[in-house]
Amino acid sequence: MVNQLPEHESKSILQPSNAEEVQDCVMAALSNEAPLEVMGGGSKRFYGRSVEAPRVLSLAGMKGMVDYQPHELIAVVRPGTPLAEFENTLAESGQMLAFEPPHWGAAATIGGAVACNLSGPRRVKAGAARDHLLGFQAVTGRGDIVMGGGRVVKNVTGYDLSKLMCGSFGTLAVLTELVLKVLPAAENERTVVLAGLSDGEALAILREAARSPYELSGMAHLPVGMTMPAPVAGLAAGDESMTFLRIEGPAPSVAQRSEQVTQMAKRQTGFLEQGESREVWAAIRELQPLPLQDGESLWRITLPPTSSAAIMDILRGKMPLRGFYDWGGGLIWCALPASAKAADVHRFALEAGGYARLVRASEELDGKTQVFPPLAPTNRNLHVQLKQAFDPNGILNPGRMYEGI
Amino acid sequence: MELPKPDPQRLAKKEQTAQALLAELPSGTVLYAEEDLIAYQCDGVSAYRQTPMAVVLPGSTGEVSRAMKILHELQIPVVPWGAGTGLSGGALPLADGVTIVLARMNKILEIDYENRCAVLEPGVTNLRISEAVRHKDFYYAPDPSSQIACSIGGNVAENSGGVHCLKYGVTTNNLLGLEVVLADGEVMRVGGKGMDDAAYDLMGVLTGSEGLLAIVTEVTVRLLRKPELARAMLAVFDSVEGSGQAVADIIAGGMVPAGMEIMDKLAIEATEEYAQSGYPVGAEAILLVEFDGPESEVEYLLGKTGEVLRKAGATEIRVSSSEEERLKLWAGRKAAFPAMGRISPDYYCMDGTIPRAALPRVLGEIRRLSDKYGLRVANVFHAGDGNLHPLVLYDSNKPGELEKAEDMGTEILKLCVDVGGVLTGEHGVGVEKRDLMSYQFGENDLDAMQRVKCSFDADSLLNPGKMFPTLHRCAELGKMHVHGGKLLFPDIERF
Ligand SMILES: Cc1cc2nc3c(=O)[nH]c(=O)nc-3n(C[C@H](O)[C@H](O)[C@H](O)COP(=O)(O)OP(=O)(O)OC[C@H]3O[C@@H](n4cnc5c(N)ncnc54)[C@H](O)[C@@H]3O)c2cc1C
Repeated sequence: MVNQLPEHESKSILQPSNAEEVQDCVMAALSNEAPLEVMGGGSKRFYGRSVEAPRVLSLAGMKGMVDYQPHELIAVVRPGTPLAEFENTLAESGQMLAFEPPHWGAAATIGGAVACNLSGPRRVKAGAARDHLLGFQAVTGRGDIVMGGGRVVKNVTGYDLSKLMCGSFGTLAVLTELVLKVLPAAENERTVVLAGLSDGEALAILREAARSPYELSGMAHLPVGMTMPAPVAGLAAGDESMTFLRIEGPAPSVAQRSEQVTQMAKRQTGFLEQGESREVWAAIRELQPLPLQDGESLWRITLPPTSSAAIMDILRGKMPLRGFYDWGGGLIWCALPASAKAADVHRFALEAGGYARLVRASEELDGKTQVFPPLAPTNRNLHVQLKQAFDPNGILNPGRMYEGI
Repeated sequence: MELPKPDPQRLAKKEQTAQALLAELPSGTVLYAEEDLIAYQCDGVSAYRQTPMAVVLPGSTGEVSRAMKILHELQIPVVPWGAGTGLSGGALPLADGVTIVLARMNKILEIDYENRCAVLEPGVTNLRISEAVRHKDFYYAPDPSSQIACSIGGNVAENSGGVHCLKYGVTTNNLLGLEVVLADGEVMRVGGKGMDDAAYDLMGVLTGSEGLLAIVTEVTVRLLRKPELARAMLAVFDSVEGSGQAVADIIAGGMVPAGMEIMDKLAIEATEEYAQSGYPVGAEAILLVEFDGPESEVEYLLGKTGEVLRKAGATEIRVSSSEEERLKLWAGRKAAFPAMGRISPDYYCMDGTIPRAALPRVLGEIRRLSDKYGLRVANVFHAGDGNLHPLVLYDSNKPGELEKAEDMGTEILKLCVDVGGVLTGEHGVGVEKRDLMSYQFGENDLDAMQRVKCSFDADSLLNPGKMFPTLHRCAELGKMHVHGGKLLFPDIERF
């Protein structure tokens, strides 16, 4: 599969098929002083500042499993492996990527998911992408092939460079192989649905659920006006908010806990079972409730759960806003109008103890709009130093995260 | 193992350094009289000792920062010290360096149940966190066996694990934010109370950095609600290999217990004498399995596991029927290290992790090595994640035995790497495994790590002599390599 770029782009595409060829591409880029835009399937290409590079380095040709040992709980995989294909292979052995990465399109690759450190609803229980990357092989911006971490689930030998790779958006090195922790998929699942709650009420219930011993693996609240897939239809009227609490595990445990959660919530509820539950959480993960309209930008704000209702109110007070809560209130997804100033959104998030990211900028915004949170000077300096350490000539995704990084 | 050679120029600055620190810090926080330094000669690896030039006991982040600024100015190296329980010599002092002890910074700054987190000074001991929130049925998950004594700052520095990390993760998976003081005295915060860091995962890199990148001065940890119920199960096996296979079968059955631990015959004997857990003395191996969660789930999984264990050849299975019994089953395992004191004057604890499938081969080799060196080995083993703890028993009063134990340890660790594993699963590299790093990692891999070091600490003043077999100068590492002429690559149309 070759990446398709929009017609107006005249970038040429390099498609190496192994680490040595990636190294060749990097070395050539170094000698020609021609930076590379590093790309998996391109499904998350909009996430980040625009990258000025004459060539795309596509990992789409580096596909497939290198080694999969279900009983050791690890899978070694090439970066261009389509996320869906990878997840299907794991499912055949009754396993999953517990961090439930968003796909955002059929082109999504595992390398891209990890490079963006994107995690889905189960992050509240199972941790983020960064918690599941055990090791890697990568080609740095120096053209060195390096390995980090290991192929075992527990390892503290040397610095944990996997953490640095995860979420660095290809600005430090090109991932050529990933070692991921994989876990048994739950035998059963059920989602408790509450209808008609205000944001404040719903978030209080979600926080209480997070503090309960019921091990929720998904906690989301969708204010009025969000569109949801079919299974939800019977449970809430179109003009009602919806709150979802997911419970996974062996059947008796799911039955017990969903009862307990219902009692805790003291609300009229409905249940979504198995496939219906899966469908709803996939929709939440894929942001289906929040289709972007013309001129809107997509923001992702992570913050302490107690601050989230307040920051939604602040934003709503200043501009028209549509958005919903995931991670028990620890994550807000929202669509803001073009008039929203990025600097303001970042500032509100920082003041609330969190971080905002402009995931998808509307057409009207310039590609240099601040996507990632502003950093304190010491912190920024370390980012610059690390970029220097791995990619001193700035040939890998230059500027994707910050000016100069 | 060779200790780093002290630099005479730095040694000559001892008095000047002490005076500079005394002038800036409150009285009582700077120790430099020989007799006051004795308590800080070694961490949990008593075979390596060194007296530091001075010890600083700061009481606040501001004091850490001031001390670091002075030492940076004087170019004196710094060794951070939490509680000194480390098992890789990570806190081993430098004769020409100052040890900064974080133990006095031991306040719990905030407990935030609504956001399920606690903000701590680095000297708070691991167990105190869980004790402080117990009345609300919360706890902090990573539970190293040293939890009574070890500090949360030390846990962050070592990325410590515990017996429950199969289900709940190690330190790095349970942190939300850090405040650190960098080598030049600057204070930096990363993360916070929310999930996900701002940009690069600096918190992730700092965790497990063994005091080489920064001094941890504040830690925000995730608190977990105590599960409704926890029950432990003990299964007896005719061989350690058999118990290892049972672990694979449990995981193949789709179960992730809260903990799974294996102990071999010698370990059973020693711990039983010490802790009276009721372990079957004489048995070849026991496997401890714990499930926690809702009552119905625990019951269901215990039933399912019981079947798996019987099929795997367990000769006896016991299940705890009360919290008291559960704790008793764990008491032996948790006391495994101190218990070795009963059967041997000294022990050397290895910590490699292996793919579990390699267990039979590795155990066989360890037995062979034990015969070859004439040293007994007791095995305890975090079985779920393949983290071995072979305890090599020796007597340091017998000439040559320490060296023999070290050599044997080296062979065991190389074996772990040979079968696809790693040198250390939770105790860290420190000085102890420093020289083996190039056995596991290639030159490029180590260079990449050292460049991270240079990004944080260009003068290499933080804990030098640990983790890296050879320290390159940062300026040297900054240069670009030429890969066999590849820099002159013409073009790449073939892709
Ligand atoms: C009986 C026994 C059982 C143990 N069981 C386990 C176990 O089950 N699991 C496990 O993982 N470990 C275990 N350990 C090892 C040890 O307890 C852990 O590594 C622990 O985290 C060390 O904490 P500490 O405060 O004692 O650190 P120290 O020993 O003081 O220091 C350890 C390292 O961290 C650095 N450091 C300490 N504090 C800071 C700070 N604030 N900022 C920056 N760097 C710092 C030091 O420089 C050193 O490199 C055990 C040790 C013993 C003696």
